[in-house]
Amino acid sequence: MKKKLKGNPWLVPTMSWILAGMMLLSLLLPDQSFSQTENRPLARSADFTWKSMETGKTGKDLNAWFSDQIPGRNLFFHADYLIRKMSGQKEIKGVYLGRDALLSDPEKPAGDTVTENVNAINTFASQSGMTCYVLVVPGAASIQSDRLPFEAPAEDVNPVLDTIGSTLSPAVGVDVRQSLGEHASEYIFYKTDHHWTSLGAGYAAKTLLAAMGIDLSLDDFDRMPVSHSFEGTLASKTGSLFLDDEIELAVAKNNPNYIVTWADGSKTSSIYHKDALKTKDQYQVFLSSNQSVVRIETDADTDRTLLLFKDSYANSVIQYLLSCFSSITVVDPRYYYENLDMTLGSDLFTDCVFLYSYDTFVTGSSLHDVLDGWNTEHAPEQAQPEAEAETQPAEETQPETEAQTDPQTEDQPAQDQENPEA
Amino acid sequence: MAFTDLSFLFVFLPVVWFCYRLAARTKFANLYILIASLIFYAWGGLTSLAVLVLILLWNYMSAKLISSQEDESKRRQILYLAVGVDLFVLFFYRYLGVWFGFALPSLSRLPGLMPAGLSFYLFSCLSCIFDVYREKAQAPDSLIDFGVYAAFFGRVNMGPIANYSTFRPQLAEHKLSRQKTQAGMLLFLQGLFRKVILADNFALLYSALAGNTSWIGNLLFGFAYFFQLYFDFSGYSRMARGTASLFGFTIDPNFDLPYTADSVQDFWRRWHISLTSWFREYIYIPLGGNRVSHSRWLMNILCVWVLTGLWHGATLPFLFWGLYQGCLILLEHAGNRQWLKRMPGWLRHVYLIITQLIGWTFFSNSSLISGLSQIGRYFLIGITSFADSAALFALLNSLVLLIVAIIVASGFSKTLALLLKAKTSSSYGKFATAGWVVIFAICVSFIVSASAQTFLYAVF
Repeated sequence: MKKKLKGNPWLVPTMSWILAGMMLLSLLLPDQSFSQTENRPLARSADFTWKSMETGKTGKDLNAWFSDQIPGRNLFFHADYLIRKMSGQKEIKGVYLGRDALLSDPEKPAGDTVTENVNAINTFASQSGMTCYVLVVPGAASIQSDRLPFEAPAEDVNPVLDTIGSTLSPAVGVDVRQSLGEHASEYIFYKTDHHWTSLGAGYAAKTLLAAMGIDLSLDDFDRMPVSHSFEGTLASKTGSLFLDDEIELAVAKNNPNYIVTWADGSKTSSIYHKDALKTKDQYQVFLSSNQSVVRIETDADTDRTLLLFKDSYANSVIQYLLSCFSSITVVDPRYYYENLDMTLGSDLFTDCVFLYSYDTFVTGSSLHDVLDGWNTEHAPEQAQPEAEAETQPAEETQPETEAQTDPQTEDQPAQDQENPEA
Repeated sequence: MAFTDLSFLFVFLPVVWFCYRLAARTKFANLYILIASLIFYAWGGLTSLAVLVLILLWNYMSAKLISSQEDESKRRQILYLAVGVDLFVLFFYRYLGVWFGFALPSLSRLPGLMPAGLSFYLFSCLSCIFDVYREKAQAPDSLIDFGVYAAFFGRVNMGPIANYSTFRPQLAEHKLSRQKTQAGMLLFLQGLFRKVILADNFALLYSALAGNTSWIGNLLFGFAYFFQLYFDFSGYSRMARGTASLFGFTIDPNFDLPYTADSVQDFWRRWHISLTSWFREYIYIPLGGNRVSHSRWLMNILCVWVLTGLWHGATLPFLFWGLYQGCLILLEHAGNRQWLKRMPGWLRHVYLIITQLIGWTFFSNSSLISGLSQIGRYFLIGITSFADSAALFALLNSLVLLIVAIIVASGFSKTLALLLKAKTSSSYGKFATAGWVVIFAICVSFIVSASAQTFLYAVF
C-alpha cells in the first residue's frame, strides 16, 4: 500500500523545477531595500567577521537575507493571510480579523509603568504649577468592540483607565471613552491601522478642550479627503488584502495662519506633510514622521499656550488645536534625548496636555524618564533659590507666575466636576 | 541551518542535491556529502563546528583503536575512555550548568552554548563505539565514511539517532534510484507540512493559552503541546528521512502513529523509535534485559527510563517524566497485562491518550508544581471556570487545525489518500502532485510570514 502511494512520477520533476526556479530567480533578481507591504527595511547583507562566524550570527544573517529577498515575498505574505482567514482563523499576530476591520489587541501593562507615568505626571504638575491634562486613548478594540470576532478575548482596558483617572492629582484626567463610544459606529478608527481617524481625533479634541474650558465645534472644520489607499500598520502586520482606508484632514474654516518649527530647525507653514501620502506611512501626513520637538506659533487671538507631551495619536489632534492656542510646543519623549529645561526655556505655558494611546502609556517608559529628569532637578527640597535664580531664572519663577496668571487655575474645580469618571 | 529556513529550501538543498547527482557517480560521493554536511553545520557557528569535528575525530580514532586491539582488557580500557569522554562532553554542555550553576553562576551559560544536535550525534557515535567493541560491525573504513554516518546534514541536528551496525553497509553503497528519490521528496514534503502547518501553529495556540485556568482552556493548552511535540519531531524526522533518501540512504521510520497505540509499551515502540532502540540495545539488554530476576528486571526498566528522562533534559520534571513512563510500563506488566487486555479497544486508546497527555504536561513544565497544577485542572481541580472567552476563541480559531491534526495523527490521512487514488486512478499522480505543490506553497507562505520582523511604523 505504501509503495503504491509513493510511486508518483510527477512529484520529483515538478518540485525540482520549483526549487531550481526559485533558486535562480533569487540569484538573478536584484535585492530590494524596503518592503512596502511589511513597511520595514529588508536585510541585504550578512556580517562576515570572525566573531559572527564563530557564534553563528553570520548564518542567521544569511538566513534573514535570503528570507527577506525571496522572490514573491509579498505574494507569500498575502497568501498567509488569505489561507489563515479561509481556515476560520480570527486572529493573526495579536491582530483580530474583525468585522470589516483589523483591530489590535491592547497591550498588557508592563510592570509598574502605569504607576511610574502617573506619578511622574503628578509630580510634574505640582512642581511646574501648570494645569496638566492627561488623555489616554483606548484603541478600536475597546471602543468598537462590536467589531471584534465572536468571543475575542481582547484585553480589558477599563480597569487600568479607571485607575489612571483616580490616581491623577493634581493632574486632571480626561476620559474620552464615553465621547468616542457615542460615535463608535462612525469611522473613528482606521480599519487597517492602529491610529484613530481625524474624525475620532476630533471627538476626543472636543472633549479635551471642553475640560480645558474651550468650546470646539467640529462644524468649524472642513473634512478634506487626501487618500483612499491607506494601508496601515495592522495591514502590514497581517498581510491583509481587500481592506484599505481613507485619510481625511480636518482643516479649520477660519484658515488660521501658523508657522511650524520642526526638530531640525526648519520651518513650514503647514502641519501637514503631504509627501507622506506617496509613501507607505500615510499617517505621517499628520505632523510628519517622528519628531522629538515641534513648535507651532499661531495667530490665534488668545494668550493661552500649550505644552503637549504625546505619542503619534496626538498628531491628528493638533489640527483641532491651532485656533485655540497662540503657541503649541509638542514633545515626543520617545525621541527626546535633551534636557527638558532646554526645550521649555523661558516659555511660559498656560496649559500642559499629555496625550497618549493606551498602548504607549501602559508600556512605554520614555515619558517618565523625561519627566523624572526634570522633576528631580526641580524638586523643592533640592532647590537652591539663589543659585538657581542665577542660572535658571525662568524656571525658578515659572510656577509662581503661572499660578498667578493661569486663567485655568480658577476653573480647576469645575473641570473636575466635568470629568467625574476621571 | 534548519530544514525550514528558506535558505535551506531554496539554496542549500537544491544546490547540494542537484550537484550530488553528478558526484554520486564518482568515488568522492561520501566526501562531497561530508563537506556539504560540515558547511550546513557551520551555519550554526564555527565553535559548534569545531566541537563536532573534534568529536568525530575522537570517536573515529577510538573505534579504529578498539578494532585494531586484540587484547580484551585494552579494548575495554579504550571503550571506557572513549565513552567517558563522550559522556563528559554531554555532561559538560547539558548538565553541568543546570546542576551546578547555583555554585558557580558562570556555568549556567553552558546549556545555551551547547552545539545543536550534540546529544543526537553523540549517541550515533556511541552506537559505533559499542558495535565495534562488540564486533557487531567493523570500524569505519575512513574518517569520511564515519563523518557521513554521524554528521550527515539530514540528521545531524535532530536525529534520528543512527544505529551503526545496520547503517554501515550503506556507507559503502547508497545508490540513487527513482524510487528512493520519489519516496524522499514525498517524505520531505510530508515532514515540512507537519512542522510548518501543524506544529508551528500548535505552538501559537500553546502560547496563546499559557496561563489559562479554565477547564477547556487548560485542556486545549495541554493538547496543543501534545500535538506540537509530535508534529514537530515527527515532521523533522520525516524531513531527515526524506533528505537521506534523496542522497540514496535509507533511514528507518522514527515514528509510527504513536497516538494510535493502545498501551504505553506500544506507544514507546512507535515514538522516537531510534532512541528507544538505542536504550534497549546499549543499556537495557547489556543490563540483562528481562532474563534476570524480577527485582533486577524492575531495576533495569527504571534505570532505562531514568536515563531516557535525563537524555531529554537535566531538570527534575524530565527525570520525573522518565520515571512516570517507566512506572506505567511496569504497571502494564502487572498481572501479566491481563487488566489491559480486558479493556475494550477504544478504552485502551483513551487510556494511552490520557497517560501521555499527563506525561507531556510534566515534560513541558519548568517545575513539578506547575505541572501538577496543570494536571489537576484537567480533572477540574483548581479551575476558575468551565470555559472563558480566551479558551472559546482559541478553540474556534484552531478548529480546522485540530481536525487536520487528528486526521494525520490517527493515520486517517493515508486512508483518504488511498480513497483518492482509487477514485482518480491514472490521474492520481497529477492530483497528488498539485496537492503537494499547494501544500509546499502554503508552507513557504507561513515561513515567510513568520519571518516578518519588527515594524518601524508600529512605534510611530
